[in-house]
Amino acid sequence: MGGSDGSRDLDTTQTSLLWAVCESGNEQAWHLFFRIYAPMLRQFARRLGLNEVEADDVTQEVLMVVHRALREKAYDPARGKFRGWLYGVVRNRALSVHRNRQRRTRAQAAGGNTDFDLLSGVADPHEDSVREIWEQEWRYALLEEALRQLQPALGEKAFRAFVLYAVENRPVHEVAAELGIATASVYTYKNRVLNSIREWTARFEDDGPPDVGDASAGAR
Amino acid sequence: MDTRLPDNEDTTHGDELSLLDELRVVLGRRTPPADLLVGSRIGPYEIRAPLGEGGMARVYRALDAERGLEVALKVLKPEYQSSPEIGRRFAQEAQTMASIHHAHVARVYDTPEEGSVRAIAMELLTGGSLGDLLSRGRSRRRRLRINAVVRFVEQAASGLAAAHALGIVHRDVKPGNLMLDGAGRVKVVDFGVVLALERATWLTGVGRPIGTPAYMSPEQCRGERVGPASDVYALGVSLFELLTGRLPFHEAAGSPFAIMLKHIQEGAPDPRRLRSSIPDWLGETVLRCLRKDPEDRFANAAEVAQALASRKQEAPPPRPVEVVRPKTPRIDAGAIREQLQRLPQRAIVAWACRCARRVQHLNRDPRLERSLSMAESFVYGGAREEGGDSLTQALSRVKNLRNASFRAAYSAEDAVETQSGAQAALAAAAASACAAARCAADASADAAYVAQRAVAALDLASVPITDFWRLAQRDYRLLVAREVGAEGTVGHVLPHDFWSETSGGSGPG
Repeated sequence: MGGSDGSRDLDTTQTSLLWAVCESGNEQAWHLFFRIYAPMLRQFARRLGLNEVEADDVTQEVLMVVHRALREKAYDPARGKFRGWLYGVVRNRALSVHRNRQRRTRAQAAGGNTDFDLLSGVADPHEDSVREIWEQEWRYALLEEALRQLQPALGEKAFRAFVLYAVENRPVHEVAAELGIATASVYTYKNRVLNSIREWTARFEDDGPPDVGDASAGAR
Repeated sequence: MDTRLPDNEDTTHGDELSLLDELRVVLGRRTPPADLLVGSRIGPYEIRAPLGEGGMARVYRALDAERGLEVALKVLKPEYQSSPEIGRRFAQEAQTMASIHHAHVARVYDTPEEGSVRAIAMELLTGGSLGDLLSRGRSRRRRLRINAVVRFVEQAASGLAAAHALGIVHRDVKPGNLMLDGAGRVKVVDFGVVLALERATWLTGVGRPIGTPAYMSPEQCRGERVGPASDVYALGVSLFELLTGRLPFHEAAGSPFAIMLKHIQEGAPDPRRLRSSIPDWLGETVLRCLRKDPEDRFANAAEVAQALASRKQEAPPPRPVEVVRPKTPRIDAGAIREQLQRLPQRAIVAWACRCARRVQHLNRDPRLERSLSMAESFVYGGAREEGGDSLTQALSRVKNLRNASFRAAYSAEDAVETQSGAQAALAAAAASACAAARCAADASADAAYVAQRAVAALDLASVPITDFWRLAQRDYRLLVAREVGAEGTVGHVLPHDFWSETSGGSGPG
């Protein structure tokens, strides 16, 4: 257990993980699902302007809806991609939190709470920008999972070199000195890490509809 | 590996910049930025070091040099400092805590501000939490003394009672929120989710599940209104866990929702079945806390405190066997491996068969029986229609026992949940025997794992493994002394009374 062969696990996310989750008792599938989607939902809700507590609630509720929907087969893969369906669910939940808040402020007469203005993006028909945030969060979630799975294999030094040089933009000689490696190695490490990440994520650019026929692959 | 980029120089791809930007976000979210507050000052408090982090705030160790007072300073995270609603909640938390004056609730000293930064200065607790104590106990495979647990929970309950008396519900009671001060007194902390009852509705809306699934009451899991009895439930879960080392509905149940569903639907197990020395009154107290219907529980924490205080004298003194068992030899898997490497293969087969047979005598497993009796035909000879095993076959039979070893180790864990400690011990004994068998098959680290699990299961069941292990060691010494499997003995079988000559124990068949 423990998912040493993590990349295969994530393949399953895109195809049969969803179905594996439906089977009661498939903890591994659920844990992976939870690990990827819970932070993504929370971040999305936060970026729509919900506070941390509200975002947690929305995440919890949406995951509950997903759980139920998958178990009762209420989500129909024929009607579209899972991610699109999930988007609809979380967006609606966030909106209703927003509406409740508005009602509350109105009840508080004076109103004038700048905190709520952040949410106008949700209420507005600026659907595209909200959708864009959603897609961006999916990229982040994917990258987070990629790092989680690739980091051990890449090794601590390669990863450190990559972070210091490419992410934090530190001068190459400084990075080389800090890690005790040649400057050429810094480049090598950087490229190796970047390539791995690219390769890894390329497989999930498009999440096709869950493949029912593949369901057995997700079950142990 | 695909190297689309040249390996030894820096190049910038078109998509690289955006990918790096994305990675910056992802990594930035992972590691919070270096703490700028350390070294700065809020009111009279000089911030020394970070202690921890919650949902909306960070906690620091801070010093008021003038008063010589060290405090835990809870500071609202920068992203929330401008939010009026959260500021209100934060102030309310401070007010709530400050309003509860009780020896077992962490004390609030004051609420300093510095510019837009708000903070709460609280009693600094240095003893760690009961949750820490639990995990320390788990890693050392020990349980807390019943008397100590009763005292801890009684103190926690009396602290919560003070909150309940003011109409305040904690909503996130768990061992991790029960801290110890330097003198070992329990203090309830983290009133971050606490809300005065009458305000709960408009501040949070109805139907907001909040808390930690493993400790959440059925009504909380359903998103219904919570009351003091919800804290009583969570206190019951904590008491259960502190007594038995296990949660009544634990993570192995799967998703958080599965656990929540169990809180709602499934009856709580009786803690006495996991630890037989729990006195009946205490077992009943736990179960009453864990009733599904709030009406059936103690009405509030004060009643729990009372129930524990009035009876705590009756708790039996801790039996040494439960808490510290220095005299019990541990099955040292490394030692087994070492021993086995010194043993010729024939002797290994003999030893594995002997251990497994002893377990079969105690608790017969038909799935094991076939492999075992075939292997025994090799060890002791004897007419089998297949003509008996060769050494290779016998070794592979012993290898078959390794699957049984995993099964047994798992069933040992299950048995602790559902059956008596004695049965768990049997299953665990089987596991340790099979671990030896696994060593014989291939001396790998898995054997250590299986053996450790077996020992852990025995520990949980509070059953000493002395007897089983002592016998296995004696068998081993006998095999060595008689040079079983030594050169020139190929084809020799063990006499059927091989073991009984010195041990007086039962024969193989």
